[in-house]
Amino acid sequence: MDEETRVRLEKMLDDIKALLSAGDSAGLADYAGQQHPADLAEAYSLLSDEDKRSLIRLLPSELAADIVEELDTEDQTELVTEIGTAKASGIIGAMESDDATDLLSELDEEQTEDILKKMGREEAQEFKELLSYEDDSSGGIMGTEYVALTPNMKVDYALDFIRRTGREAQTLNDIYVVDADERLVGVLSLRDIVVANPMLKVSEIMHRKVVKVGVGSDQEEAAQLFKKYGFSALPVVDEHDKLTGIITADDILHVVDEEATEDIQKMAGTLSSDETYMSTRTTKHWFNRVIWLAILFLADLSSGFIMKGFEESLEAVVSLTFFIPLLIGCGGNAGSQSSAIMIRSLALKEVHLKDGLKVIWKETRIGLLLGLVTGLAGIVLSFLIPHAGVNWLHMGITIGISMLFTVMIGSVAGAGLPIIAMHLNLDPAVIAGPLITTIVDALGLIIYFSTARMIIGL
Amino acid sequence: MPLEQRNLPRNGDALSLVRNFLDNPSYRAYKELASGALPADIAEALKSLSEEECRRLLTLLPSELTADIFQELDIPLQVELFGVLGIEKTADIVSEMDSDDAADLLLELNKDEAESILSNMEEDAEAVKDLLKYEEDSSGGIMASEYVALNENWDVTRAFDELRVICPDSDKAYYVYVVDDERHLKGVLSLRDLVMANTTDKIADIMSSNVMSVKVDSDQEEAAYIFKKYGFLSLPVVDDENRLTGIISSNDIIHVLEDETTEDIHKMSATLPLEDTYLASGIVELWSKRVVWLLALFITGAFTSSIMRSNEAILGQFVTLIFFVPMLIDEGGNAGSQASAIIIRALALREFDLSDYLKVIWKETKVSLMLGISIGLMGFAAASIMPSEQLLWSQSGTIVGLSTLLVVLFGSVIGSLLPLAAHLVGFDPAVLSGPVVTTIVDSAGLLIYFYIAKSVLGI
Repeated sequence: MDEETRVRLEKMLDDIKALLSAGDSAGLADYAGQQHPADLAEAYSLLSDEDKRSLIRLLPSELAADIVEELDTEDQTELVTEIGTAKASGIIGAMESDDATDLLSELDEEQTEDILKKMGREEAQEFKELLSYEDDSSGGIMGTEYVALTPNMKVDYALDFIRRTGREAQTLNDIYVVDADERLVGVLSLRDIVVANPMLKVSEIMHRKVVKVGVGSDQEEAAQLFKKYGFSALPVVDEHDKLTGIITADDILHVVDEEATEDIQKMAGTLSSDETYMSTRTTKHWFNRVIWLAILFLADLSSGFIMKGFEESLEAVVSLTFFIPLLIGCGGNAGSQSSAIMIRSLALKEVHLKDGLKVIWKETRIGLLLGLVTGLAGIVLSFLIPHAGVNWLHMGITIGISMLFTVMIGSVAGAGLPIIAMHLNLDPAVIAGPLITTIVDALGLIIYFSTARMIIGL
Repeated sequence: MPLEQRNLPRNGDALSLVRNFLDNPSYRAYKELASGALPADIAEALKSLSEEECRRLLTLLPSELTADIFQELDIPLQVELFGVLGIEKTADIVSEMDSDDAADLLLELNKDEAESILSNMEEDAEAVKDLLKYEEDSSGGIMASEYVALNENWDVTRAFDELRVICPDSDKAYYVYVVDDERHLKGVLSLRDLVMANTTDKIADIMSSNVMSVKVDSDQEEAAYIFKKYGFLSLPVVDDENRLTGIISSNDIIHVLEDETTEDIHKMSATLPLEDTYLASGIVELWSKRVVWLLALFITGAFTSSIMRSNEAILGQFVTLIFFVPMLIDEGGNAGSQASAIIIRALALREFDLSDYLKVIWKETKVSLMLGISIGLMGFAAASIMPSEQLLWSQSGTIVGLSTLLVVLFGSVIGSLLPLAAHLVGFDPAVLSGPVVTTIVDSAGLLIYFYIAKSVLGI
């Protein structure tokens, strides 16, 4: 936090505390109305528990809703429990529908039921519908605050209609047009309406080509459409093409972040979680990591068995062991590199399944180039580390060749396995660094000992 | 076409509409193309056309639509088409493009080419030229100059009159910004506020003066952070004197987030960030981005060889010990990769700040200890069961179990500490991750392992 923000925040905190202790609810409402909700939420988080509750109680529902929207889910659910369902239902009703739905889905079923009962029938029905969509579907992230015109409205009437109904809308940049069955038939911007001849009909100035997304589709599909077309909002329709909600670009920012976090966590061999670091309990952190560590442990034992198979060679030439950690380390690093690059390219849809052979051919050549460099370095190193019981040239060649092939295999497997995983409809992000390292360990050791047997003649 | 059959635009449709138009470039075919396919769809269809077809299409279509199509193409393809279309036609197109996209293209061309395009542009050359001077990954580098600014002294009627004049050029006006006579940023209005206001209201009275902005030379990540925190659709960019110079829209930020993540993922896997996509990067380029770190890690990794060498005697006597080395150092490295990835991501998303450092370190220490004990127990079990002629089951179990515990503990703690420390001194934490941590853990792990083995075996 920079100095300027800190000073502003402290000032805000003092102001709020003063108003709270005076119990001046009108003054509070006036003050809060002038601040940005995200700043208010930050100040709110610094208040004592008691002040928090009285602030929320004193503020009108709309302003309280602005603050609650910005809080973490954990703080939100805690707050709802404290202030009771009556006050909570007013606040939740005033929140943007997508945020409100997220919150409702985090509460106990009983609490949700209670809150919905205290709302109007229509509003409760709408929330029930929103709650029925999967968390990570387009329906799960959409909001319902949009303005829909009908094709036969005159432009001047439409403008008046927007004036009357648009106050709650998330965006007026895109205004949708629906027919008598609420089916989406067109889109136009507020600008289109403002600059149009007032006597024209909406159907005459609307764009009929509307890009939309199905309510049950994955949120990633919505994100792809945003990236491709550069919209500020995207309409969501049900199976009958009925307009049911909109997704705005700022919702997608969170989707993009979430998906990236999930990938990064998987790539590092941990179960992914959508909670923040600080709000995740220690035991949960442990659990998310220990699962993969245990699986990799078992897989890693394979390298022990492989070496056991070559026990005689090892006993004859103990110096062979000197280069094992380096060899498998290098192969693993090369594999981590290519798998990370490939997983990211697949996620961004820069590489497709049909490119599989092209990728493997490319990685073979890159792996060869990388292997030549590390192989040479390996030969040099073997000359520098004195070792008894084996001809130095033989040792050098053994190290060089096995380094070359291990790095090559690491590169190819690192890029190829995520693509194969995608073929099999598995998540490519799982086949990253840690798993590749384990696979390369086993293959590298087999190559190493086979080469040693051939060259050194064990 | 009946309404229910009008589905999402498919690229096949766009391509056939394009081909129709090329076969018979009538007004009717143009209308069908323009109303049946969005610019982004036509852009994608373009990739299936020959160079000559592209040239014909882009010359035949009105330059406004051409510009919309052009800015949806990948930059390398834009550069290629520039070669096909020539300077004059390209200048026409560029002057119709959104200023931020136009600037991105000009940056990719060489100086002379960019100069001659700018001098051939009929309008907006100045605006685009201004954008060229900002760093590519600064807020100035991603902003556009198509903002809508109203003077605080106007009334709503005047504002609407002005809007009718400015608006058609501006795709990105989600909010209207309010400035004074010297262009200082004073406030913000949504079009919604404006539509709902009385015609005689003064702009200064209906605007919100609590307006968030970023400085033109701030990092684009700063802008991304504000977007995420406040959920805006656009954000004004100001110069040092708080004068409005451009806007960033939220869909620009989608690309910023993706680019930053890609950069982090590449760094986290010991690769210098790629500039192009994987398929567009040449073999030598990919090689050079990877070989640097691979060699650096080789050199640090070479310590393992000398550690092994100095324990030659004990290895010769108890060959069994080597069997557990790969598992041991891998698990230490894995625990380190996990911790570093989690911390690096949390730092990137600003989930905690400096004041939380001690809490994070304490949490990581506890998690690491728990992980060490869990995997250590597995190590003990595995090594006790594995038959060995040289070691008692209790000896190998103790050696492997205890060292696994310590190595996993060490790896996990180092994995979380390194990125935290890097962040503290202003380094990029993403560089200190998986492979770097793994290499450190390799050496340290071997030292721990042999030390414990010697103690247990009494050598």
